[in-house]
Amino acid sequence: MASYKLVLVLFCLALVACTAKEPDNSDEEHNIGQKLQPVSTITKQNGQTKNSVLIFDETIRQVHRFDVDKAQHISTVPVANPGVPHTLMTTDDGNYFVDFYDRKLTIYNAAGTIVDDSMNFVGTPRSAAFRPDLGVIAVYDSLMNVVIAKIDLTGHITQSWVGGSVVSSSNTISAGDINDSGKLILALSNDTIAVADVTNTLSSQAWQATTFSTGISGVNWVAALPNNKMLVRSTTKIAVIDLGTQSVVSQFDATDYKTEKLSKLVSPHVILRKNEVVTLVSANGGSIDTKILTNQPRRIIYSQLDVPNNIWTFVDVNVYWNVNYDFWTGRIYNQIDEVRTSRTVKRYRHSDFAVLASKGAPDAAQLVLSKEYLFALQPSELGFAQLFAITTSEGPRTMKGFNKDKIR
Amino acid sequence: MKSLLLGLFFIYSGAQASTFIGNGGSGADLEMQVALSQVQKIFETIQRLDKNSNVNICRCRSRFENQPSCEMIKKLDEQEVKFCDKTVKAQTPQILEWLAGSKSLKINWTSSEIMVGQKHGERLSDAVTNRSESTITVNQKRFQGMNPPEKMFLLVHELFHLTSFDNKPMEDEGPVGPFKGPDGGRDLINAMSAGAVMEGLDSGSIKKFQSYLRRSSYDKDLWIDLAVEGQSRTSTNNTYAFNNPVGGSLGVRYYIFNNFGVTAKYWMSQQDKGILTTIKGKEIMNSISLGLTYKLTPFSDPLSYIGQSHFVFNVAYEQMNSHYELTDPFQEYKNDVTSSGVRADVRYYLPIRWGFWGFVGAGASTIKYSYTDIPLSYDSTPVFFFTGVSYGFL
Repeated sequence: MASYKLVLVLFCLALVACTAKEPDNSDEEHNIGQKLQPVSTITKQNGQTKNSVLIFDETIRQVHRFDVDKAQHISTVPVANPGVPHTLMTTDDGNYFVDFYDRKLTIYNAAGTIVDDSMNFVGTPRSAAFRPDLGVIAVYDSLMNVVIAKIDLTGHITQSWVGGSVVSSSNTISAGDINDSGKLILALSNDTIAVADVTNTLSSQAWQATTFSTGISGVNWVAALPNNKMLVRSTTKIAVIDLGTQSVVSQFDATDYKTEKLSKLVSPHVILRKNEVVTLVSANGGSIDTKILTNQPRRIIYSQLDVPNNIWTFVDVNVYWNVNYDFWTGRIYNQIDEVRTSRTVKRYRHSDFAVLASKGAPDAAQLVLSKEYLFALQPSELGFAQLFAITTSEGPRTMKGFNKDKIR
Repeated sequence: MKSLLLGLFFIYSGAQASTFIGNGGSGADLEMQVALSQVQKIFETIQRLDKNSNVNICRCRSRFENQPSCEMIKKLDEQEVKFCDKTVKAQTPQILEWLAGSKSLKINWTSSEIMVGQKHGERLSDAVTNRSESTITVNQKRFQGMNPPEKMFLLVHELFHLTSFDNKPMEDEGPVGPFKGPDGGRDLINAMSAGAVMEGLDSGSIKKFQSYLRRSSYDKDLWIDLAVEGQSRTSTNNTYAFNNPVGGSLGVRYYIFNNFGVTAKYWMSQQDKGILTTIKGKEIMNSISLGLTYKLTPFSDPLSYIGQSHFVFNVAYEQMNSHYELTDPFQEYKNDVTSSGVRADVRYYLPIRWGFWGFVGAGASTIKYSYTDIPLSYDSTPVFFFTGVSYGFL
């Protein structure tokens, strides 16, 4: 009898192990801005590629800056408290960068000198909406505090305020983002949308927001769109909301789908999955645009949609036993570096889903994706990075040995 | 004399290796000193015998039965044996005066054949004694070719010539006591010498002196040095540096005149280590040095252990090739650098046996170098410490 039970247990384990796991994108929901990452984005607000990329090297635990045009290592910044996780955000021109770690935020200039480290948090920073072009940042911490600050062009914090999660009446923040007007747009727990004026809020040191209702309930993700619009993902819908008319302009019924990926790079979009069918949902002007990819057993862990340039680039992985998923919780990691094997970079033309490129990404590396290049920082103590062209057959350009002088 | 020596004591057929040269002198000095010490011991032993005892020195010992020496003694009649015994004991104080007393004995070496004039012509000899100058002249080459008993026999024979009997010098020619005939003197001296040497060998009192000859002696001209050598140096980057490399060296020294000579040495060291968690560093150093060497022998008694010990000073031009490999799972750097400088060291040698020596030493070099692809510079004067073994020959 005991042997039957053992066989049954083993059978169940095998079944669990061999069954595809659904992606868990919970860490992308209920954020303001984007989940913090140990690499800065290499793509500007306008979709163009930045000259340099910043990356927290998890091996030697310092921040590197690389010139992606020349394929050169530029500098290394020894950050404070290197033993804890560090996440980064930077400006388009790289004149300063923000380093989040522990319960603190430190701003460094391009030379690696600390410009401002006055900001502290009660909880741990988990996401941030950063608009360096507007000089505004909103950081959401693990205890649901919102830190709003203005940063000048040199990286100094000129104004800041710590707000609680209750914005209007007793309604708390569910998700948010900063739009092109510098307004903090927030989805609240009572299914209303709040538009907070950052300048007034900082001046009065209290939430200054207007609210309205859209009829969309259960919003857990908000992305700012151009022209005073926003894209939201609720429990059942994906919708475009016009902040001017305070109404839903377009919506898609996502009741039967599971969310595979929520991304604000470069054009906000949502990737839905139903079995092996993937639906890419984005906003085309004021309308919801959907495109379907069939026969997609691999799971997408990173996605970058550039609607103006008509390209969609994503990284997918196997989801079976060989994928780095948490056996006990069943969670499949969905960030580009949370799975470091079997990653494939694919590029589609957005308009007709013509495949423009498909190539494997190097295992074990920390990846950064731009329009032109895949940047891979390997876990090399001596320092080793490669720049792969995505759409051409050009061989990788290698940067190596940049840690040699720093090892002591 | 020559034929007699060739036949004597053939049980020592394996001639003792010539292993000692006196302070600054020839290679036979030590052998001579050992032989003289043995002879002195023999006569000290004889002196301790009661003059009236029944111990016959001029007798054949069983272990030397059928040997020419015994045959020579066997042919003595009872009267000659007694006379021989009595004369040996009587002459012993005089011999000890030469060896350990106030009289000054001078040993001269010669490389020429020694011809001794006699009434009936000249004869070839291995040694000759000049009483007036208190000098024994010895043919060095022949002496070094003898086994220890032969050497003792030769010296005892010559020492008897320095003594007086009945107020007359003891000489080879003419009758003495019951030893009749024109060579009676030589027959007596040969019988006394053979008896004395057999007495010394039989008593075992001279055994310890043989060990002096087995001990390595510093008079050799060609030396091979094998050493374990460690360095102490400082660098700009201690992460990659091997500040205390240990290696091995093989050196050769050849002394051209007196204690001055030339030296050449090859030194090699390979070190590796892990850096952080995945980096591996490996440095291989090879050096060749060519220079001058000087051997200082400051101690006076070559028969003693310390007396044989000596210092060696080396100054050399050194050229070193250093190779560094730095790797992690993603890349590999290989860097070579050649550097040169002057190296000086001093060593202290202690004799072991059979030509082998142990030594310790220390030195320094002016070599400094930097790698181009690896952030590592050795920028201090390296200090060396080494220990090893040597073999001296020729």
